[in-house]
Amino acid sequence: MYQDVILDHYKHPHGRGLRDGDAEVHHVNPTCGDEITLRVKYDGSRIEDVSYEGQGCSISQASASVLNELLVGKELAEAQRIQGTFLELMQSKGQIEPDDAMEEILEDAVAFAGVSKYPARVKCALLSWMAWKDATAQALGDAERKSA
Amino acid sequence: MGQVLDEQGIAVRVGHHCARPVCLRYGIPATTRASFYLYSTPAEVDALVEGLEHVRNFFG
Repeated sequence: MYQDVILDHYKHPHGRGLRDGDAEVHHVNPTCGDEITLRVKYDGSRIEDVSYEGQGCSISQASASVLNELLVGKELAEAQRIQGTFLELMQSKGQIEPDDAMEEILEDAVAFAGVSKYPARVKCALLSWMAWKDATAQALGDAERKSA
Repeated sequence: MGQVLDEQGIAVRVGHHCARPVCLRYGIPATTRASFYLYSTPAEVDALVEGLEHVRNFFG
């Protein structure tokens, strides 16, 4: 389950630290004791930044690092496609063997394929992604309300 | 940590132990708990110590 890619992201997280954002959320995964505070910054529909601070197991922290690497700079629609693909992989119970097409979308996130075999750990991998989804809904919801 | 120990046949409990307020009170994100009882043997204690060495090297 623990690929070197995951341990690398855990030991050297990408884009960690809280920076300016349009919305902030705090999510907790009590089974492992993982916590994350995550902020999103949008420039229209483009993700300008995803910053985060967290503590917990290596899977949850590495996943946040991969998320930052994958989503910053992307258009929202593309980011949602990546999130959807990652969710599908994590819910596959180890039945999906990532192919080239999936690897092109998920890049380092395919390393989490093995985690999907451990039901207790799927939430660790998904914690930051659910936090991002929640923060995005808040940020863009606020923007809509302001422009209305 | 629990998973790495589990792979060596050592069962521990991890996380908040259904007691998040206590974790918050002491400012710790999570703990790993090994429980002992009358039937635990010195060999099992040695296995745990070795397992913890392995964990340290693995994540270190």
